[in-house]
Amino acid sequence: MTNEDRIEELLEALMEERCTPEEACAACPELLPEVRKRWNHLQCVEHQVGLFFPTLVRRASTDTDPSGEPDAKRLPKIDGYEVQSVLGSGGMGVVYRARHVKLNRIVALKMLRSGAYAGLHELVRFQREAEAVAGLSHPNIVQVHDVGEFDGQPFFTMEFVDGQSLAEALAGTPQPARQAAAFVAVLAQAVQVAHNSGIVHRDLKPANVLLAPDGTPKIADFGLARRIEGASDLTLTGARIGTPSYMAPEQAAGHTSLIGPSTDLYALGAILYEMVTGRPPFRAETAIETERQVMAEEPVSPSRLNPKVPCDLDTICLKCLHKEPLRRYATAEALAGDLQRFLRGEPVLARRVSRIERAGKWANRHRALSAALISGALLSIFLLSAAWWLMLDQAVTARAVQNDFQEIVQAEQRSSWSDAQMAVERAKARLGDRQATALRDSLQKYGRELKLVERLEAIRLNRLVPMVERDKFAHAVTKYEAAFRENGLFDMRQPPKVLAAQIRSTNIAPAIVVALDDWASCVSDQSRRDELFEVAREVDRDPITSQMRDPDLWTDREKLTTFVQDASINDRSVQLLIYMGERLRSLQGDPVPLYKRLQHMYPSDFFVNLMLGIAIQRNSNPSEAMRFYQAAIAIRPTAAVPHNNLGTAFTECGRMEEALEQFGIAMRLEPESYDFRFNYALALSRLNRHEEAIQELRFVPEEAPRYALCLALIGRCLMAQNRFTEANVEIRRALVLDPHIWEAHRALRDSLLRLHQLEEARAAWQQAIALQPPDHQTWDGYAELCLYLGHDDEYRRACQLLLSRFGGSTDPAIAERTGRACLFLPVSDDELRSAVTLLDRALAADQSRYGGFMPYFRFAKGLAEYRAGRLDSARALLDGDTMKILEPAPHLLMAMIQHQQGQPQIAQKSLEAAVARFDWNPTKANNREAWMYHILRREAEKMVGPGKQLSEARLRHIDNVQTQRKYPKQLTPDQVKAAITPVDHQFVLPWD
Amino acid sequence: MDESGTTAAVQCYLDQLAGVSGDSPAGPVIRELLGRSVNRLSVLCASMLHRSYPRLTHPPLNLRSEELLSAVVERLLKALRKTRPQSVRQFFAMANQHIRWELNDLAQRLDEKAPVAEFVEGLFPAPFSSGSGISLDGRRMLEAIENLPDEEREVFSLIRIQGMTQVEAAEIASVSSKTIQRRLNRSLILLSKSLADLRPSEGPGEV
Repeated sequence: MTNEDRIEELLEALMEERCTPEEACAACPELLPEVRKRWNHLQCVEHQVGLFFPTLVRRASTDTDPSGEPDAKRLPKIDGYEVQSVLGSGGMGVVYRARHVKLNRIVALKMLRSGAYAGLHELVRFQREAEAVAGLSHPNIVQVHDVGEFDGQPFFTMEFVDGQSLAEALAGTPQPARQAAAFVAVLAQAVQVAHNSGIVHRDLKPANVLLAPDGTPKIADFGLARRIEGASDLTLTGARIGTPSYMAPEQAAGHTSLIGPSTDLYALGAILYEMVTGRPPFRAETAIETERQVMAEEPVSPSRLNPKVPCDLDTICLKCLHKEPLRRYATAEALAGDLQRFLRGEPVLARRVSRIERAGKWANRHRALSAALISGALLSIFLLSAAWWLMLDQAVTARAVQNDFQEIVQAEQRSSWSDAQMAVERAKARLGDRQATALRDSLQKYGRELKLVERLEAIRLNRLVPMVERDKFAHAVTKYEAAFRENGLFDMRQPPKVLAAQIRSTNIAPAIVVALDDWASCVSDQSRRDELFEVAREVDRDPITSQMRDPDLWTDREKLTTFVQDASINDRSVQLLIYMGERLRSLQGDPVPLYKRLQHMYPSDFFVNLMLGIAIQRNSNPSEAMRFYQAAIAIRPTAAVPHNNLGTAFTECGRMEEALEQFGIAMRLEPESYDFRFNYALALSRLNRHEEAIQELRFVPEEAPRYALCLALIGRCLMAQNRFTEANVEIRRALVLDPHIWEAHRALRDSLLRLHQLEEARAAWQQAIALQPPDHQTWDGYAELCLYLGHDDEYRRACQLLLSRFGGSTDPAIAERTGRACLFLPVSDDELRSAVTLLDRALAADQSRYGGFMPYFRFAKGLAEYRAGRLDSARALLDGDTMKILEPAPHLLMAMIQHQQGQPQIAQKSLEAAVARFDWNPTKANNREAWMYHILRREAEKMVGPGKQLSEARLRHIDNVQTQRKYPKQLTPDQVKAAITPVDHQFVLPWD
Repeated sequence: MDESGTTAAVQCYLDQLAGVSGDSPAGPVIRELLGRSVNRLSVLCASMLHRSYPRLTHPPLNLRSEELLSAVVERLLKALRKTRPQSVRQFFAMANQHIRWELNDLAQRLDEKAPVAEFVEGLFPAPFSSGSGISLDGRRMLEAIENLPDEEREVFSLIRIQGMTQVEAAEIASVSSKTIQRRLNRSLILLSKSLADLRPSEGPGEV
């Protein structure tokens, strides 16, 4: 089944069973990001469908359709409650109908969809607030009874209201003015009670006003909705939940500090507006446009949309909707009072807007009438007004642009660079072709600076691609230097104080400090780092972060480890701490605890999640790392790096199809970054789609930084298709371009081995090892080849290298290989001890995982015991299972043991049997095992005497016996060997 | 508007219609029969106008859905009067088809009007040329619905266009309401696929 089918199946399950995407994807977490994305999109489309094709019988599906019943076993079992059914589910959670068992009371239980990433902090705050709301008691407020937590998910229970919401009841139909006024007056009184207790709703809207069967309005989700929405935003793809139509301007602009009781007054005005006109005050085709209108435009008077709306109600409504919170009613009670005065027919206290203001608003809406309307008599008036309109138009533009500027400045103060960028674009569009040089110049300056922010962030991000580890720091340093130089910002010849002043004079100093810190953490030259830190310190002047730029900290692992253990984490320090974690790692420390702490406090920070994923992946836990990459992707879906890293994690787990998909996404997101394309091609070649891989790699231009590596991979892919000569050409080209790629040396070695040019292969191999490749696989077998080719000194050198590099390995397979490789010649006591330690470690490995390897480990230990002169112990290790592997090696060893124990005839027979068990044709000696056999045979023959080659007929007989004994007949002995050797030949073709 | 008894009512009308012999004037019966669909169409026209073309409803155009309706409804009536459906299912298949066509036609005419309105009403030429996502206009939605497979389109139309309950739709399509639910879900998945570039203009409401 393709992923697409599975995703659709999961979506259907989601719709049918009303579970969360997390629940639906429990068995296939890798699909979660896509399913979540599609689910959000689906909900959005469903919503749009609902707008176009409103259903009047909204509850039909649950009331009348048995299939609408949720799966009973999915209902949560919560202590003290009997959860009966699902009432609905939406962006913020699932609402269940439940019975409080002891009180026998039906309640609505709202389980919050906090997601795995909601911070503890957030939950505690939520809990505290819910407790406050539970203290509210008013007939027009949905009573909150209880707050709790189930399975780490917070929930609260509230009064069960068996009716529809105001939004459903209205469905776009205007209500009589008096009825609407009375209704909102009731709401306002309830809101006042909440405000008296210091609780602000923050998200009043018709959907949050429930109607009891007798028509009593009840306000739901008091004080909770916004908070939760903020939390759940993290897990979404960035799409805002809910509509901005009822949002107050201060909310839409993100001025959280201004949000207060008057925010609710605005919302009450918006509800009143919708009740009398059938539509909210602002509603555009997109949320962003709606937000813009909320912030920048005056609402059309309700009476213009519904002429039946009396003038006074018009006034009351517009007073609530005033852009400035202070110009609205002072309290909800005051609003209720005015509404009641209106109902009683008394004069209301709210004043109509002044004449000038009104004229302005009128002009606003009639700025240009269709020319067709203008008759001759009107022409002169029109001409007069046209000039006035024009002036007014410019004034409006200037005001709007001014607002944009204000927003740019505010966004930059918050370091919300993308918001600032948007405001710049908006202001540019507004200015159009108008003559406003000063404005345009400063806009251009803002634009340039924001471009630099973008560029600096890209450098930081691209540093995190695992593929480019080798020279990523140097690369980033070069790029930083270029970026700063080209912006005339960083001339290192200047003293730090001057540079700092220069940086402070920009509007993007915080972003530059982040980049400086990152730059500093990349340079290897300590004095340069100190310089950069000094500049950053000068700009930043923050005592906490200044302390972090102490040069000593960055060179001493112990100091750094202790420092980060209790470093205080806050908005200012978080980025520097990320770099410190990186630094810690390059000093061989473990940054995971630090990153976990950071992630705990900043679960929605993109870099924190990404870095934690990388650190965990480096600690060889790719499947855990995936979780954080997915979180990073959810936070910033358009960033290529987390997709790429998720791909590498999949690769490490052997899930190549999924890896390929992720690399593909990364490649599409950043087609110019050839690292992603390289990984994509690599994944293709691992899936044996070598031709496709070659095609992808041919796209890489010669000037790309890793072009040589691409050539080497092309060589690999050609080799996989047995085109060795062509492969050789590509690989040699790669090495000419860059002789420092061990992968290319290794590929050259493999192609030479396949062409049976062993000496050349050894030389290439030596070069590969000289470049200190990180993985054991590249080293493995070199010692054996040296010895096979008679380079005894090089063999001994290789053994020492192996022991120094892998002597501490805890991987049983690597321990065994390393130990064994050192035992093919008599060894020094020290080396023997190291080898024995390694082999004992292998033998102590978990039986359930390494059970099949045990005969191999015992053979190697037997060899060690033989070298130590403990013949009995060596012989005991060569038991039944061990004699069946690596034939003829155990027999050769046995022959030597027997000979040493004074049984020459038996030893002779063992040797003959051993020789009969292998094809000794030197042209086939192109792998580690074959070299080992040859080496052991030479040693054994030197001791026991030459072993006779058995007749062909006898050989066949032995083969047949073996084949019949253990394996199905149709397999050739070679296949059998491949099947029983649990560790692959080292010359696997895929790239590592 | 009471929608609950649609099926029974329509069947009753169709039975009456069958009782009308030969060429005798069936006008009043058919008109009554169509009245229900027309009601629904007017609701849909109004929501199309308000959701997709809110600018046209503001001053100075002050376009009202009633003004648009009369012509649209007249044509729907004419079309349905010509072809006499034999069964309830056939009737709704036809009514749905015509409603979709009429809506599409209306949307097209409104689109032609829209740029003019933009000029009159708009403060600045298209301040959000990018970054605000693509909002869904009625025509794309209708086109996507038109491209649904037959079964999904039928169920979608019965429930979303005619505003029936799942039980009513199940009765008309002669399948279980579980099947209806499944087809409806399926239709939404297919729609969300073909409208993949759509970004939320307004997110889903809360529960």
